[in-house]
Amino acid sequence: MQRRSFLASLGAAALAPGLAGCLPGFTRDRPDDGGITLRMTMWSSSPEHLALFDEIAEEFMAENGAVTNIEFESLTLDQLDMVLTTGMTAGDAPDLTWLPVESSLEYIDAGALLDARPTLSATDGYDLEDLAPDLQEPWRQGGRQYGVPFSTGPFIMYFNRDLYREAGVSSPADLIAEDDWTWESFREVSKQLTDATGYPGYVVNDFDFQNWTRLLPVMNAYGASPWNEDATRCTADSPEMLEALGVFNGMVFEDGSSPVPGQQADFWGGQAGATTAFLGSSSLLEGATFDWDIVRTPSGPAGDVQAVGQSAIVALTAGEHHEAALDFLAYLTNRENAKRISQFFPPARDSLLNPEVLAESSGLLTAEDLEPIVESITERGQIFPVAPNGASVANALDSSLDEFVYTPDSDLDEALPKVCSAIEPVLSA
Amino acid sequence: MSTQTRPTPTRGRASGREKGRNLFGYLLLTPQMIAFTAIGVVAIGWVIWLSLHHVNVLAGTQEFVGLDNYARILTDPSMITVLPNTFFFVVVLSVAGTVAALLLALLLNQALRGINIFRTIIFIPALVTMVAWALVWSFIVQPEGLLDALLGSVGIDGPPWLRGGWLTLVVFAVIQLTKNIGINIMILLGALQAVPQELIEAGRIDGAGSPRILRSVVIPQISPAILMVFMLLIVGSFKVFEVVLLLTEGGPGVQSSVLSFEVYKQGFLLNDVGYASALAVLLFALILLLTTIIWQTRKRVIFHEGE
Amino acid sequence: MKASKQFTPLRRIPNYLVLCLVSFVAVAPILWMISASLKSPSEILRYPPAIIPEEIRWENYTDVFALQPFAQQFLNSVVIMALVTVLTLLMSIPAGYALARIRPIASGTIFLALLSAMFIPPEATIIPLFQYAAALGWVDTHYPLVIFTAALITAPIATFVMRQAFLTMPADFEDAAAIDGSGRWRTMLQIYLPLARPSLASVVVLACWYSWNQFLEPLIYLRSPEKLTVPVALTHYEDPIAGPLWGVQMAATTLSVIPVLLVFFFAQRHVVAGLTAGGLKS
Repeated sequence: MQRRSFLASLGAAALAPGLAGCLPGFTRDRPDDGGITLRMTMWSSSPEHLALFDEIAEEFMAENGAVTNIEFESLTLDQLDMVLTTGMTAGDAPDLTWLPVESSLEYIDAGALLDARPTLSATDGYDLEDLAPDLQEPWRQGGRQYGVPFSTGPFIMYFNRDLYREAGVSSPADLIAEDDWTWESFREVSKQLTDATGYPGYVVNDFDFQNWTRLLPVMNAYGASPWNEDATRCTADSPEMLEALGVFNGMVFEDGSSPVPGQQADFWGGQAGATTAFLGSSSLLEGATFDWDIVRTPSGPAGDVQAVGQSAIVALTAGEHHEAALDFLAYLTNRENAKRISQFFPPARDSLLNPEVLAESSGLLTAEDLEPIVESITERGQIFPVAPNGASVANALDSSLDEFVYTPDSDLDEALPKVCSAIEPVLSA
Repeated sequence: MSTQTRPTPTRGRASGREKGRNLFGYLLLTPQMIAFTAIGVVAIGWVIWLSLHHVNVLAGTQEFVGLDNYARILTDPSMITVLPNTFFFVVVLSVAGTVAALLLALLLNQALRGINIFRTIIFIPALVTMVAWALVWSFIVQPEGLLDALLGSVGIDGPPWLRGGWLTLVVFAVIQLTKNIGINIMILLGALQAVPQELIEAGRIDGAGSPRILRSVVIPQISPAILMVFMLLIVGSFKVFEVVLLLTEGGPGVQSSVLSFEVYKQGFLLNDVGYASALAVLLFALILLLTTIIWQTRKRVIFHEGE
Repeated sequence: MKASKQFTPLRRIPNYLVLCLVSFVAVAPILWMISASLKSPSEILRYPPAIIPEEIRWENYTDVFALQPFAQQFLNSVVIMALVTVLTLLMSIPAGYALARIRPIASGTIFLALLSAMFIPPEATIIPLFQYAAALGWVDTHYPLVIFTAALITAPIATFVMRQAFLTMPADFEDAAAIDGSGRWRTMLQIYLPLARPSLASVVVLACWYSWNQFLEPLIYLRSPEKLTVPVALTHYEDPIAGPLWGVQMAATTLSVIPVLLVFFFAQRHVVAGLTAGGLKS
């Protein structure tokens, strides 16, 4: 009897919500009021970022009668590829998306991106000439423009002044003042800090030994790159790479001044001496309980070369509303809106690329803070290297570095050729 | 067929009844068979067809390449690691899982004080989703995690649990095993409790000791349940997926990866749908082969021990 | 069997030791999960870890609902689980009955085909099934999670269990029913089905358990936060810049576990009966 009532109640539990029929999971309706709905994916879920994009979207819809709804979908960067490709397969791809520069070539080669040039040049007051040409290179091919960068920012070094003070060690700012701001000297003070405080001296932000571009600050300082200029040959076994990774591996496995694989350390919670991260991360320091500062990343034998990441807004061929998507793309990246977006993300427009304008729109950082950042972008910056088959190459590189290089007893002389034999076939494929 | 045992008054009526019976049977089978054919059979056919193509999702192109994807499996250096890893889990999870579940079931079948509390506690992990279990364990085995702290308190330096090699595979096996062992224990416990008491008494009167009774009375009696547990574990052992994805993503390199994770990685992270399909076909073929072998030997084992 | 009668109290000590050890392995992760759910991120990373949080952070629990529609996601999981179970019962009861008691021509072959379905891992069919769902417009809906799962995985297993259950029942009832003039439907539904109740419980437990645990499929099919199921939602407690939010993630995990534990403690007898009953001892 009891069992019957048990089964019956299970059955009732099953049917009741089904009958209610108001569950979101069984429909994929989007509001249909005769107008166009645009969808855009982005890898920020910060309420401030979303609020700004929503605001711009509202203004766009007020001007452009055809588009009645714009949806922003937040995800994490490592989900992006999967969301876009499965969306394409399902005929449900977004109209626009943020795209990191690492993926630019792969998407352009596949014909997955729309050429925005005709729309941009036809838009009144867009001022196409104002887009800094050096910074557009990855997105321009054969006179076409496959996207407009909205964020072109170098890695910045954030450091915890309290911890440096507590350890009684020269801080990065002190080293810059002494004109001794190299990876070698940073490695030294990091070790001293770790020995004195027990906290790691250096944490690579958003790295987890799975995201090789996060090591570009040290690679660039030594003039190392995993592949040559036109991405046809692996150069991960070069002497420069050997030195660069030697410094990093030394910090992790010899000095113990950087977390070993799998170990977590939270710089933003005050548990590490320094980290390298993008400008956008500064928002994590809003409620910080410690005293912090930012500086450019250290230099090396190759000089002071800053690693600059870039992301663009692109319109997808697989999207449903090409024209409206391109119009919105032009609107989002026009001078006025580019300036508003630059409070979070460094712009790629000549007219905006000066510390005063950026400080004005940021409000968070001063012109003085921003000076080195602008300099890095315009003078000493080097945008991330790009390869065709971006996803597969990055996977091969990350997994071979993880297997052969990031180990306590790795001999880089032997390990780096193995890295090359892992990525060489993917590069040439 | 069971109808043959029944008296059949006249020929005509019997064949009419037979026809109706068949129709009724097919009617009952229809929902299941339609669903199975429309989804399962089509999916298998489709994955085989896809495995013969090179698919570029970004460009939206698909070209026939024959057996190229299969040839690539043979030359893919990562398969040298991934396939043995897959077999490691199949063997360890099924054999160790069955033995551990059986031993614990025997232990929990004793009339010890408070045994019900132990039965409940050991079942608890089975109620947690695999994802939750893996997430919690990721804190336990991370460097300077709970496990390192426990070992540290007795003066042992914890090794890097998730940095590849056999150690990582063993850690994964433990996580996977502890999660589901409760269910298997329950199945075996149910079977143990159904063993007729008279058989055991009879054995004891014959002068057999406990180990002897266990070997020649109890185990044969519960052998169908043991086989059931073993088969469930075999099937489950090919699905070590959540742990791999959430703890190491197969790394370092592919040292902790298994076939099912490679299918996901190639198909959804690297967009190589054709190659992923070929790997999926391989996975399917391996499971089919293995279960056929076990199903065939089953008759011998059960016959030998049971009857 | 009660093989333990001969044990003296002293000889039970090793048994208790083993049981305590196994219980520790089973419970320690759960306790740690609850403890971590009340800690701040920096305390979670502290070494050596403490089991009692220094400062209890209840905010983790409110953040669970602030960051994602977790209540909706929990409901999604429950609804999907219930629908999978219903669909499984609807398909497997008649199919199991037909294979065991009606046995139409070629039922042996049909049984083998269904049996083989039990062994198809979801990873092997996820690619075509995703494209299938895409063609049907089912991506980012719960349809594939209910229909594909029931049709391909839980119903074949359940058919196997139900067939075993109906097989062990005497054929006399059938004849008696035939003499009574009961129709075939009546014979199935009113005579045999009630006898198979333990196996029905078993099927319900298996289907619920399978659906509740599913991860790969919802990971692939679902996108929108308000449509996710619990296991996928748990992996989404992550800040795009700062990385995983450990405390909140553990709070969500705790919240996902507790209702299941409660249901288990109240329905323990049924769950255990379901697992140990029908079909497993042919």
